[in-house]
Amino acid sequence: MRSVEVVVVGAGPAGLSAAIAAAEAGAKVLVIDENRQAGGQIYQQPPQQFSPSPGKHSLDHDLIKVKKLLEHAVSLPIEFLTDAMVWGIFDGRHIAVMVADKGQDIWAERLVLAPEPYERPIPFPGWTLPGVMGGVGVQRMVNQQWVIPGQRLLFVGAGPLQLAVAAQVLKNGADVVGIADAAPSSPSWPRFPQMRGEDILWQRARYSWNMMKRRVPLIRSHAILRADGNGQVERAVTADVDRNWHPIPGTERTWEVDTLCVSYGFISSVELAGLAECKINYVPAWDSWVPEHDNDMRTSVPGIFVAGDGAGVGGVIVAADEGRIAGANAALELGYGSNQPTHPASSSYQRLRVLSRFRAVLDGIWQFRPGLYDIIDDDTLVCRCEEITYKRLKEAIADGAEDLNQVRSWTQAGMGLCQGRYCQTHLAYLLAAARGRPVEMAGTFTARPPVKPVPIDILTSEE
Amino acid sequence: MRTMQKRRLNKGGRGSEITFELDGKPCVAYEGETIAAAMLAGGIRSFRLSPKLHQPRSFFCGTGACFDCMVTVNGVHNVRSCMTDVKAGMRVDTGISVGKGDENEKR
Repeated sequence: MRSVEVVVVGAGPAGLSAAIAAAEAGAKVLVIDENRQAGGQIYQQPPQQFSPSPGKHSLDHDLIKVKKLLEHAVSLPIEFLTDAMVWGIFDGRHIAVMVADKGQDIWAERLVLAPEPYERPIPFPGWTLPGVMGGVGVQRMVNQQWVIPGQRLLFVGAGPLQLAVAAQVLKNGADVVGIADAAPSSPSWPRFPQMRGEDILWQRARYSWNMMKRRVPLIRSHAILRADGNGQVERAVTADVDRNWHPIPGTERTWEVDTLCVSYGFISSVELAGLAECKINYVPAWDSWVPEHDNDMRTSVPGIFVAGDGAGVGGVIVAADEGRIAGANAALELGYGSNQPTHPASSSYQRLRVLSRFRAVLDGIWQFRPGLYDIIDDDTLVCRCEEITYKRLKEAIADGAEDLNQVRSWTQAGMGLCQGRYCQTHLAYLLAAARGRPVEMAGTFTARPPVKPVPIDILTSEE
Repeated sequence: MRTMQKRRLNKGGRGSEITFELDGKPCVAYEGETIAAAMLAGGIRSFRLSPKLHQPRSFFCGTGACFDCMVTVNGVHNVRSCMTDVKAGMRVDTGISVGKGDENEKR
C-alpha cells in the first residue's frame, strides 16, 4: 500500500487551499476528487472537449477566486486523482479509492477531509416526479453541459443560490415563472461590506436579482407544498409560510410548469468523517451534523483534519481559509513549515474571526425552519430509494423505534443506494418530533463502508 | 437567444458529434456530454422506473448523490447518468426497474 504525506479528499476551494498550504510548506500532497475536474461544486467548467465562446459566460467571471486557487494548485507539485471516489477509511487513515472501476489503497500520514455539501432534501408530495430537480443539479446542467433541463421553471427555496441559477436559466431562454423564497426578506446588502466584496454567491445573488426583478415575480415567505402531474411535473403548488415556515392555509398558488427547481440550503457531508470515527455533533443553528473540530481544523481523530463545507456550510471564503489552516497544520505536524516566524496560515485565522460574526447573521436569515418538514402526507415517499412512505415510518415510530438506526432496520429506510443522504434529516425530525425531544436524539445512520455504492470487483482488485 | 437544438445552448463549440443508442434508437450526442445531459436535451423525462412502485424517476440532484438518474449502459444496470459520459456506440436503456431480485421489467 502506497503512503502519502498529506492526502486531501475534495478538490473544491477548501481542498485546494489545504493542498496549496501543505505543498508550499514542502509536503508531498495528493488531492482526490470524485468529479472529472477539480474546482468543486461552485466552479463548474464545461468538459475539456468543449470550447466555450468568449463573452458568453459572464456570470462565471465571479469565480475568479476559485479559478486562481486551481491555477495555483496545478502550478505546484501536487498530485491530482480525479474521477476517483473515496469509498472507505479503515484503521485510522487507510483510504480506499475507486478509480476507473479498480481499487487503490493509500495510507495517509495526514488526512484533510474537504467534501462538498449536498442540498438539504425537503420531501413533499410529488417530489419524486421527473422534473423536480435540485438547484445545484440545474446549475451544473446549464453551466457544465450547456443544456436547459426544462422549458417552464419554478424556483422554490431559501438562500442566494436559486437567484443565481434562475437568472442564468432566464438569460438562456427558458421561462422562469417565479421564485419562491421561504425567508421573509432579503438581507440589506450594504450592511456587510466584507461579504459583499468577496463572497461569490452573494455577488451573484445581487446581480441576478437586479437582472430579474422586472420580469420574474419573487415571492417572499413562500414555499413549496406539492408537485402534481402524470408521470412528470405538470403543476406545482406553493403557499405563504409563517416565520417558522409553516404553510398558511388559504394562500395556495398553482403554477403550470415542467420543471421545479428546489434549493433549501446545504448540509455537510459527514459520511467520511463518520467512517474515520471522528466525533460528529449536531449544530442546531445549521440543522446539520458536523465533525467536531477546533480552530486548527483538527477533528477528534489524530492526524485527521476537516475543512470547508464539510466542517459546516459557510461558503467559499470560509472554505479557503479553513483549508489553508488545515493544510498548514497537517504539514507542520510532519515537520514542514516550522521554520517560519509566524504560523503560515495566520492571516486565515484572523479572517475567520472577522467572518464568523457575519456568518452568524447570514445563517440567521436563511436558517432552515422546520415548518417545511410538515408538508408531507401519508403517501409521500420520505425514503426515495426504498420507496418508504410517511405512513410506514409513523408505524415504526409508534412501535417504539428509538433512533435512526432502528428506524432503518425496521423499515429499510436509508438502506437504498443514496445510503440515507436524502431521508436522514427528515427521519431525524420525525422521530424527534414524535418523542418530543430535540433532533439530535435521533442520531445519524451509522456510517459503514462503502460510503457510496461500488462494484464488488474492486474489493478483489488491489493495486 | 437561439439554441442550437431543442434544449442545447449556444455557448460555443461542443466535442465531436457521436452516435449512441437510446432504447434501441440512434441518438446524437457530443463528446464530453453526460448521458443525463443528452437525454434532457432530447426532452426525455423518465430515466427509469422505481423497483417497487414502478414510478418514473429522473435527474434529481445532478451531483451523483441521489442515484435516481440511473440507466442501463451496455447491459450494466444502475449507472448514474449524471456522472457518466456518453461514448460513441454506447447502448443506453431506460425505464428498467432493477432491484429486490426482480429480473428486468421494461415498461
